Amino acid sequence: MSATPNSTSESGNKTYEQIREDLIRPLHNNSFWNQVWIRFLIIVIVLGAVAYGHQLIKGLGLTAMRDYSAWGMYISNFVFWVAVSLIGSLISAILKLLTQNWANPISRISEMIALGAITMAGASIVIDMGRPDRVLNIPLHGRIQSPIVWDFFVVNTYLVISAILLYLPLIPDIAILRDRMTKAPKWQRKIYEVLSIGWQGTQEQWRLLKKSIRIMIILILPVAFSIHTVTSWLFAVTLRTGWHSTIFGPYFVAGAFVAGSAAVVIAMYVFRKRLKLQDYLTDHHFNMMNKLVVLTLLIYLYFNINEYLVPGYSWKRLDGDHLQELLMGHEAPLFWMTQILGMVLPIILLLFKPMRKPLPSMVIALFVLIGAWIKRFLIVIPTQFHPQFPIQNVPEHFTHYIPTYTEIAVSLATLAGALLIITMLVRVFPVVPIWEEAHDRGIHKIFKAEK
Amino acid sequence: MVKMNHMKSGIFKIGSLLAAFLFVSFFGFAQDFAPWPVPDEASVVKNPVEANKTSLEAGKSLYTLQCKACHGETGRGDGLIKAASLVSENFQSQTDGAILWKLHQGRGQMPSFKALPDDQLWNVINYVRSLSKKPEDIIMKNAVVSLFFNEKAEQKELTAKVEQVNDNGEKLPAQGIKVNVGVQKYFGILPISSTSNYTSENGEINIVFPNNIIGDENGELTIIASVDDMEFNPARVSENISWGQINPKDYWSERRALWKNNDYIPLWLLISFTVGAISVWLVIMYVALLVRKIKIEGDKSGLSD
Repeated sequence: MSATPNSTSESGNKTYEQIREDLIRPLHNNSFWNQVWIRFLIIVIVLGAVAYGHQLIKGLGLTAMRDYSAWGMYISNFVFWVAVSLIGSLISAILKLLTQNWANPISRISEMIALGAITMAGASIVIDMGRPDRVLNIPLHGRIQSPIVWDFFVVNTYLVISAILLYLPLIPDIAILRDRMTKAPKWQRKIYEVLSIGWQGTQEQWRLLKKSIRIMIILILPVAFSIHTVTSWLFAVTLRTGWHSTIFGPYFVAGAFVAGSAAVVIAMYVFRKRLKLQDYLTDHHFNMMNKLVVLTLLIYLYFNINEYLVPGYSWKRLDGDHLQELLMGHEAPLFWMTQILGMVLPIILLLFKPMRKPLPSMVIALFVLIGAWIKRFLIVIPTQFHPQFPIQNVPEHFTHYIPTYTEIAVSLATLAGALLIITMLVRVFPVVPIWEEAHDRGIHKIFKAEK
Repeated sequence: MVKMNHMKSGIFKIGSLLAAFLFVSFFGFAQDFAPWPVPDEASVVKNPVEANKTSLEAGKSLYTLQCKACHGETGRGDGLIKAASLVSENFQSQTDGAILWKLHQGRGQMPSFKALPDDQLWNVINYVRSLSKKPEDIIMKNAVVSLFFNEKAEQKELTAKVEQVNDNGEKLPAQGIKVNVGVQKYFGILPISSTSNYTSENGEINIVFPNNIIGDENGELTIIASVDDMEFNPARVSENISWGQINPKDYWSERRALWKNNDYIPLWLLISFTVGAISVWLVIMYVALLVRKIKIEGDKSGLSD
């Protein structure tokens, strides 16, 4: 990745006032389609909630989870959401610490995605519980030796850190909105009033803010790595074939960056189009972001080769059964489709510059993201059909896993939930940081709040 | 503001829809099973098997094998899945013939038992009838059971003796009483007697004790014998004896703390988890403090403007 530091947009010089108005404009514009979109998401969530209510009353028997496959779609979703949420730390922390300033306009998008995703990760776990009212037993009575307890702690901590890291760089922007959005509905103005915490843009305030941001982007790194490493340990510490692997931690982290980067590319495309931010999310940003996608994909490919080649070479009995099923058997079409359409082909295509343009790269990112979800499914489910001890006297339908309508409805609701969180954040806050954008374009005045 | 009201009423509608759904499905669940009509010609079929001790005992063992899992030990429908109560007024009011017909048919989760001979099914029906009888209908007798251990050269032999205790305290050997003998294990009693162990005329049963049962680190086992007869009050005895195989304590089962409960938590893990968790949250709190400072700073400069 070669980055041009302090990269400026191709579209020439804009004044601070122009930038500010460009980035605030989408907040005034509550278009018809935006309302249709929000209502659509709410309908999907309500349908999911009805299905979940049904599941609460009737029990997990409504899912397809049985003796063999005790983890199903919900846990796949959980792993997927944790993976996507890691993008906040990659863009906002890693790239920032490496002074990759081209990524500054994308940082807030990635933080919003992170917040939406980690919320749904937590929700997915509770959804998977037969008795969600007992969730507090984990911190109260959990064994500290259990990765479930570590996971509970780290998911909640990451949720808080993600929210703080989204909020801190927002403070100066919220102050701008507080002063400019005087025609907004009362509740919206109240939000700005409270969240801007009396920001005046004094030198001391800037110093404190920059210090806080710096602390948080360093703190988020170990927590982000922990959350996905611990998630992988939920699998890896069991003695199950296909899970019991020493590289599972980095394998999951690498895969997470792939999923998150793809999600960011899709979000960038949608926001650029819907919010008319062509001058701020430029071809240059897509070019750089897709190079990042290729980099993460290459690392992920490397881990994939390790993960399948080593057990494939030694072919221990149960490993062999599992790999046979995955590479040549029942799961093979899905597996190879994911590996080729979701990993190998995107790497090759994205090496060509025209493919890194907004539209083609968004289509590729869709494939990568869907592939990332299927990959989680293929990690979670097939292993469970190769237990160390055979399970006896079970009905035939226990021996394969096909999600029920309940599971699909609830899963779609979590997807809609994450999208609704992101949509509502974008409704209220600018997706591109106003002050950072101005700063990156060489406007170095420290904004005094306009009264 | 109009839009706000609009939104509010939308949320209200969705909420009430959800509440209605939860209400309906809750009562749908609480409702009992749908009626199961039996044809008249099946209802009038008479039970040819007399509800004597033999029939009831055979019925009980078949019930334990085939019915107990769902209908529960006492027939209240409190087994592993939701099943009909067999002691309810509703159930007991039907004829034996109707029950037999239902056993033949099966419905939903309840399988058909057509494959079993009818006389066995009549035994079960007799037994199920006895479940709802109140205890005072039967005069219960008292018994004591005792265990004797007899170690010969290579063979270990166990004798369980049942004696009936009369009202005047006199003990007499009880013949033809079923006795269950087993070894106490982690999750229950491991049976070592066969299912048809009835005492001889001197009130005894003899069992050759298997050599391959694993005991504790001294080879000690707890052996339990209990009287299983419907005319007798429950009686049981338990004795310890070192007839098991020695199960040495080893590091992996005793000390390997990563498997065990919090009492065995390894110190390094406790320290790294707690220190890690506390330091992350201390940093978060420090940042919260900085944000508070930003607010104080803003209030100050807002005043000076």
